[in-house]
Amino acid sequence: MLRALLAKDFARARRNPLPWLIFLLVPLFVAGVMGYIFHDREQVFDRIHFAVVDEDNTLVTRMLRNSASNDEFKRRLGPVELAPVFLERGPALDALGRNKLSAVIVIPAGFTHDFLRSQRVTFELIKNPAESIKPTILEEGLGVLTAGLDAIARNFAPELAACREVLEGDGDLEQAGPLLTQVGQKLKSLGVYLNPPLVGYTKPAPAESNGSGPDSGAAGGMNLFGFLLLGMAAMFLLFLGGLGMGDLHREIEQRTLARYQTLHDSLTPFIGAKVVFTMLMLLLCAAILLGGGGLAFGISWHRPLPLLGLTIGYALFVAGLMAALVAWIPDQRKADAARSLVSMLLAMAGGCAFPPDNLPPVWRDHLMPLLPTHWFAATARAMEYGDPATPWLPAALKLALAGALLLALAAGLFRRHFAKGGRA
Amino acid sequence: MDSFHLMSPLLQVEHLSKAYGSVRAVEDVGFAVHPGEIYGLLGPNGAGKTTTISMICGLLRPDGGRISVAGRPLAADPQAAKRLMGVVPQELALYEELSAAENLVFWGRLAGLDSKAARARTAELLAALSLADRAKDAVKTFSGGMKRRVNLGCALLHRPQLLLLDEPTVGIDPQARLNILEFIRGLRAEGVAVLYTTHYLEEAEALCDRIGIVDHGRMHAEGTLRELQERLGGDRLFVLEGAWAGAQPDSWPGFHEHFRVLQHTDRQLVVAALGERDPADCLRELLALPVRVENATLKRPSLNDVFLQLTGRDLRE
Repeated sequence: MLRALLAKDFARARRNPLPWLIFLLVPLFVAGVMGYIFHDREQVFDRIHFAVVDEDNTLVTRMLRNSASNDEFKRRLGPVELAPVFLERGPALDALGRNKLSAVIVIPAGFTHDFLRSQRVTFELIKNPAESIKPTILEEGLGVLTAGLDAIARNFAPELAACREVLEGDGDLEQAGPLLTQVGQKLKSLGVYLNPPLVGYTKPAPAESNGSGPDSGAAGGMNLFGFLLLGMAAMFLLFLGGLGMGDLHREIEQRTLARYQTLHDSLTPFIGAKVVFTMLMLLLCAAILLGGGGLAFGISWHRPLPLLGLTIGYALFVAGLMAALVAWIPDQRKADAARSLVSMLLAMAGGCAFPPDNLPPVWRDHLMPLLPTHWFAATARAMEYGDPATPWLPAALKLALAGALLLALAAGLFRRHFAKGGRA
Repeated sequence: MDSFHLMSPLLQVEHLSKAYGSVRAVEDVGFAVHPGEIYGLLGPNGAGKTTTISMICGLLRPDGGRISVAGRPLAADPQAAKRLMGVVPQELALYEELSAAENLVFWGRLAGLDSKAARARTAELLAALSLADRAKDAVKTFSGGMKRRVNLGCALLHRPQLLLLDEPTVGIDPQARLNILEFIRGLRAEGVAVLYTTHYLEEAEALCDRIGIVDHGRMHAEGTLRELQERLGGDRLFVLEGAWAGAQPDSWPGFHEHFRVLQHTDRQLVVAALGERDPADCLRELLALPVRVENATLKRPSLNDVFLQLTGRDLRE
């Protein structure tokens, strides 16, 4: 009988696949869009377009502007890539107005003259008002440059004066060699203070890495799509489970459950078959979501078998939860609304929709650990993007136990409902 | 005594009752259905017909009374009783996405047939129900009459000895209705006991061997059509049109010795003649009443007249 019941449900799902497809495509779409946005933003930060307008145009300013394309300078900037262009003021401001540049840096006329005389010098920075982050990065960089120039002016005043004489042509060119040697020795003695720098920046790593954040150390490399997709899968498997078990309402509504009851005294096979059908559909959908998502976004799941075990536990939990809701709320319309609400709440509160680190501490520390959605999403994320040795079996067993308890509750509620003469 | 009563009944219902809160849906209802008999439960909507069938097929638990199927109490072994029954619910209990054949095969499998037997029986039934050419089409593409036939077929896969039909012809056209009634007659010929609920007088008259008239949860009368007609006191009714408002038949001398009033409205008086009397004599007496009769019609009593007499209201209301 179980085979006949399952064949019937699969045939019906095959004839009317739209509701299933919608709940399958939405998480893939959402993960794709969110992943694209954040993935793209990271890439945009890598390249900052700006213009340098050299109105002084001397040997010194040419050296300065060429430093932006210096290999060592680029290496020190890390992932941020500067893309300077050298323009006249007019075309530079025009490009800024057309949003092609993040900022324009102007080296004013007389810069070299003033600098070599240790007089106050000024750079002009014109930021693109349509952007916020990249102009700020350039402003900070310019601040570092001016600090450096200031340090040079203070510490190399005699050498700068000698340089000025050489450059302006009223000095002895034979002095250039000893001058450079003198500067080199001074820099050598300062080297211990300059390298390594007194102040540095490194990305902080979480003290206890549980893989719950997208920046956690990855088991095999962080994939933002994968991180999002696991949360989306946890959320949409709830909706898909609601679709599967909610079919019991349609069976009640169209009187097919009543017809079944005219043939059999026990409802257990019918409801049990619906639970099995829902679980099988959930596993199929999880395979499509995670497998299809993997192919679409280039995600490689590092621990597929533990992920499968965890998903089986989660599918049992979802089937149990939805069965309990169907048994508890006999009215289809009310039950549909309740299922959606419960699914959303569980997913949101369980940290499936947002990176859990961004949630309020009380929520994150006290509420979230109690939720099965969190057991699934956090464990799966930790396995894939945190500590590869994260144990999955306890979470899978907890999920399966919760599912079994909910199924027992549903059976009790169904029995009470029909014993009271409820409409089948 | 007709031939049915020589056999033991396949379905026996005694003093059945069911209440929903303060509403008594079924009260002290009793009847029996024998093999090869079509028993009609006739009554208006809300009379308690569906509640009665629901209790017989085990969907509802009775508050009181006793149901026996093939001589054994239903409560003692409901599963054994269900194996003997086929139930056709009033609503179309079908999977609309599936084809007619898939629906039938599925219900056959649930009724205990193996896959091969279910398919063979499905083909047989689809042919008998004139649906063979649409066997593979989804039920949602069918007309109302075709869906009704599939609904009927789903109850017959396991060749039930007792068929419970709850208003199986509601909402379909006359031709489709005739087809279904003819099919049910065929089942009777095969010895199936049929309990048939309806609020269509014509169906009950044309199809049922015996009829139970129910209203407000109570069984008012039962018997063959002839027996029910005889309850009116004869096989003739007179419909008299005139100004009957204010008329007092009780005060007319000798009237109640010869006639029984079935309906009295401002414009119409329907009376049954008592005893074996010449219709011409009856008509002469009626024309001599103190109210001028504008038109008089003589007719055989219908089930509606019986219902009218038993309940005081017209079944067609």
